Amino acid sequence: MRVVIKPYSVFRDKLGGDLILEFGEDEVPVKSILERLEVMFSISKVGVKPIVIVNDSVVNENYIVKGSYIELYLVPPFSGG
Amino acid sequence: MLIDVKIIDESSVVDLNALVTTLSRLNGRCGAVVLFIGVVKGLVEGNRDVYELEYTGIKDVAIKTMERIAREEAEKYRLSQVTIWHKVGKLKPGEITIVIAVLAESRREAFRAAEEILERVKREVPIFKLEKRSDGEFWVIGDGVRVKRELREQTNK
Repeated sequence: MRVVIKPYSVFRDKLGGDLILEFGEDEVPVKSILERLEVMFSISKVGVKPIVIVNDSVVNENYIVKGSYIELYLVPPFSGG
Repeated sequence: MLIDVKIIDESSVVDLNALVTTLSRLNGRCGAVVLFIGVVKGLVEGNRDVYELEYTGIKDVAIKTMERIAREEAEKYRLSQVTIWHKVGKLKPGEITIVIAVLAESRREAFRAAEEILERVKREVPIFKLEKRSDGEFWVIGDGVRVKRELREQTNK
């Protein structure tokens, strides 16, 4: 599975831009993706719990992304208005 | 019921005259229009000068979420029209950031709905704010927490 990470706000600064992660399976829990990002970028040091958006919806760590290609938004709590 | 949601780029004008014209076409059962206009504050946290706010957002998701909010609130308060316009890009103090307008049977529903829509937009719509001010650049996280920016070369689309 190819997961395109699209970070915004503090997470874009942390990751430096969009990122592609490859996984051997076509079903991957969000938790595993976040763990990979932690190993690569220490995203917890941002000090903000990330929100994950997949297929237009906010999902939790137990959500399983499926398919060969997925876009995942990594964002902080929203601040519009 | 009319649902009107938009993400407006920094270079585009927020056409309040057109909005008011639309709202003025009241049907017989509507007796209240509430219009909320949010603008960039030039001061935050007491006395910190803000010279610019930069809004970024996940446009497709933001539009879909605003449409859902508008429909749910219209149903809840029996609104005839809901307008939600949010600007993105670089905005200066005094510039409009968001416009919310509702058309309802009575003032109570109109005021409640407008406030509820605003709070839901702030909580549920994936838009993010970068505050550029005299003492640095700060990401605004949720409704008030600020994280000082360390990198300056990154930008969102």
